[in-house]
This record gives sequence, structure tokens and C-alpha cells, in this order.
Amino acid sequence: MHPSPEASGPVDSETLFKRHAAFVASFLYRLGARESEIDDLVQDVFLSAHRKGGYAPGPASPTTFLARLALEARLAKRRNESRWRRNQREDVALATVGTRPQDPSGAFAEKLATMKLQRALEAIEPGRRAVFVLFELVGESCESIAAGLGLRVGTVHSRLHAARKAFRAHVARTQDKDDPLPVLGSKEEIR
Amino acid sequence: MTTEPIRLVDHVGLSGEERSLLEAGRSRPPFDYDVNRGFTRFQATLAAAALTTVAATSAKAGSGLFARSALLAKLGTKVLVTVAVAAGAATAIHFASVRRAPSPARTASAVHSPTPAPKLIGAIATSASATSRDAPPTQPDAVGAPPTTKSESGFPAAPGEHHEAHRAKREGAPLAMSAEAAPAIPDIDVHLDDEGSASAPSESVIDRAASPASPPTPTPVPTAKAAVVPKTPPAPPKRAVKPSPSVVAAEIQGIAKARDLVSRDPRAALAVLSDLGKQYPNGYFVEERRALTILALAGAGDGAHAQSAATRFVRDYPEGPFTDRIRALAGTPRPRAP
Repeated sequence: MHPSPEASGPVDSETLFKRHAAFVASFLYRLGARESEIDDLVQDVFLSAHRKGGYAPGPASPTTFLARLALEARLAKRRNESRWRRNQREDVALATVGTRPQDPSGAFAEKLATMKLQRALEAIEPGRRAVFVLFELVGESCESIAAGLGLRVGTVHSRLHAARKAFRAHVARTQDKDDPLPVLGSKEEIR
Repeated sequence: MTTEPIRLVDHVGLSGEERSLLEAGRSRPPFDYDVNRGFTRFQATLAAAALTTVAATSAKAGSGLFARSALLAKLGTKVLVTVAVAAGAATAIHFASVRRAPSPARTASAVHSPTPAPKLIGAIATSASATSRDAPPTQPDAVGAPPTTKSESGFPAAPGEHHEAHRAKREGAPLAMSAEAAPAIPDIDVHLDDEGSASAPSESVIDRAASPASPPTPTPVPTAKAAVVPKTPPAPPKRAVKPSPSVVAAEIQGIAKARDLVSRDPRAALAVLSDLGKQYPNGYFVEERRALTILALAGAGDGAHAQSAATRFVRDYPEGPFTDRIRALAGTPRPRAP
């Protein structure tokens, strides 16, 4: 996943949706949003972009511009939630999760890696996680991340450093454990 | 300028597990979001929001119509009160002029003037306010006339008239006048209550009413016609008061279609708007149609027509919901609040 080259002019919200909805959904997932709420959050993000008049060219790329809106939407959603129950994570049939045909043999490995990565990401504090995802997984530049999230470049560097440290520590901690699928969360959360 | 950090996946000392996780994260999204279905929902949300905006605009326009009706009713009351007061004043001054020989100047200005009504209105209003100001607080009704702070016609009393009224008051004329005009008083009371000026007037208010600088427009030459029909701001074009629901729905559909086309295909939007204008020349969404037409003209590159249409639009709807945008488009600044 790399940032797509964007036209130099402004981009309206509908075009943004077509080009970047998948990224926003993935980003929200990696921020810890439940799958059942991701479509609502995606709609919120692009409605917010629509209200802002779409994307205007600048130091922030469309991806980092939308990442900030996604962060805000996620925070607003969490504020409204009474409690986040991770054990209900997989309980809703998702209207907008696609049914892309997959190779059964490769699907499991991919799913496993995705889950392990998600566990590692959840070990990172959310503000740092957003920077980590945008830089390491999406491939955005620090300057674009700083412009999109409204941070200084130095802050992006320090958050990235801290996020990497947490990521690597988590991987090192769980590398030898043969339990790659604890997706339901800790026992405390289940109770 | 700071250097960009090396991506973690490109680090030499990365473990295989770390690398595989990062590569997995870079290669595929964590789950498959159905963009087409999401986009359909997004479009529906946008369309609903657009319709909500149109409905809110209509409601606002409806309330504006209501407010205009209330204003007209208020103005009508003012006219009635004005006529009643003028009649009472004319009668009283006539009695006063019969009772004692008037000076030629006074006769010319107050009695034999070909257009006596507005001057008399100004005189009587000022006279009444001066009387109540001079009256002791314990006897507010001693003069028999309600206190008022400004000319009921809406015109400030000229200084000469003010003086004239004082003189008439000293001569006892207003007292007789007020007694004569008693039947018209209840209307005046109600009006004054509505205006919130039923309390004793202050000097500054009276001075403002008498000052030529107080009205926003130059003081017109008072005539009988002007006294009966106060000047009102130009009324915006009329909307249909009670269109049938089906007509409104059809008009809304046309407006929504035009709105959808304005940014993508302004010429097609213009065609739709032109048809709308023919079908509903006095429809419920004239303001929206005109605003969209200006945007479409601007989008189609017809700057001259857009500019003239925008000027007319801003003149007709100075406080409309689209006016700021049209002003910005036309480059006309918003007038400062007084």
C-alpha cells in the first residue's frame, strides 16, 4: 500500500471516496475501530471531507488529509460509546465487507499475518499508531503526515520512534508464543 | 531540513517476523471494504443532505414570508394610527385657530398648507412627547394623550415644526386636541406597547427623532401620500403562498437536479433551470433557482450575465441564505450593519 499519486488540483468528496475509501477503512481498522462500525465511520470521514469542500492541494496528501478526519471520527465515536467490548468485535454481518474470492491456502496465512500485525499495532498508543501506520504501512512522508495531522515534523519523528520501539518490543515478546489468534482480547476485556 | 527516516521494513537488522508483519501490512488491507456499496450509501447521504438543505431553505423562506406579512400588518396599523392622530390634530389646530387669531406664518404652515397631514403628524407627535415630558410623573395622563417619542409617520419632525408644536402646546391646543382625538387613543396605546416605548420618552430619543441624521435615508418631502403610505424597502419577488405538494415535489426535483449538474455540467444545469423558470415562474424555490442560475452562468464562463444576475439577486435577497456566496462570487462586499 503506497500513497497514490494525486492530481494537482482539488478533489471533490465523491472522487476522494472512490479513490481512498479502502484506505480509510483499513486505517480505521488499524486504529482499532470495530469492523461493524467501520462503514459508519467511513461515511462520517467523507461527509466531513465534503463539508470541508473536498481535498485542496497542499503539503498534506489526500491520504494524510483523510487520516486526520478518520482520527477525529474515531475519537468522536469512542467518546459516544459507553464501553468498547472487544469480544463483540466479530458479531455483526458487515454489509460493506466485500466478498473478494481468495485462495484458501494463502488466505489463512494472510489472515494470520494481518491478525498478528493488528495485535502488534494495538500495543502502540493510538496517536503514535496513526503515525506508524501512515509512515510504515502506507508509505507517507513525515512532512505529509505532519501537515495532515497538524503536527510538527519533529513530533512526527519522535512519535514514529516511540511507535517503532513499542512495535518491536511487542513482536519480540510474542514471537515465541504459539498463540497468534487471541483476537478476542484479554480475559479482563472478555469479562 | 530534516532527513526522512528509513522505513522500518528496509532496516537491515529487522527480524524475519517483524519484516513479514510489515510486508503483510503493506501488501494488503486488513479487510476488504466494498467501495461500491459504500459509495452508493455516501451518494444517498449527500442527496439527503441536499434535500434537507433545500427544505430548511424553504422553511426559512416561509418564515420570511410570515415575517413580511407581520411587517405589513404592523405598517397597516401604523397608517391607521397615523391617520387617526392626523385627523385629531387637524381638528384641534382648527379649533385653536378659530379661538385666537393665528399669525400668518403659523396659518400657512399648520392650517392652510396644501399638504398638512405629515407636518401636523410630526407636530402632534412632538407636542405629545414634549407634553408628557413636561408633565409631573404623578400625573402621566394629565394631557390625555399617550406619550410618544417620534413621529407616527416615521418622519422626524422638522425643527420648525417642533417649535410650532411647543407653541401650540403653550396655547393649550394639544390638550383640546387630545380630548378630541380620544376615540383613536386605544389604537395608539396598543401600538406603543408593541413598540416597547410606552414608558416616558427620554430626551435622547426625542432628539434622535428630531435629528435629521437619525433616519438612514434622506428625509423625504412630506406629502399627504407619503404620510398615508410609509416608504417600505423593495419587496422581494413573491413566492407562491400555497403550492400543492406535488408541484413542490416536482420543483424540488428540478432544483436538486440542477444542483447536481451545476458543478459537473453548468450548461445542462442552465437548461434545467430555464425549464424550471418556465414551469414555475413564481414557484416556491425562485431564490434557489436564481442562485443556482448564477452559479451555473459563472461555471459556464458567462461572467457578464452572472455578474448582472448576481447584482440583482443581492438586491432582491439581501439577507438570503445564498446571498453571501453570491456576493463572494460577484465580488461585492457585504454592507456594514448600521
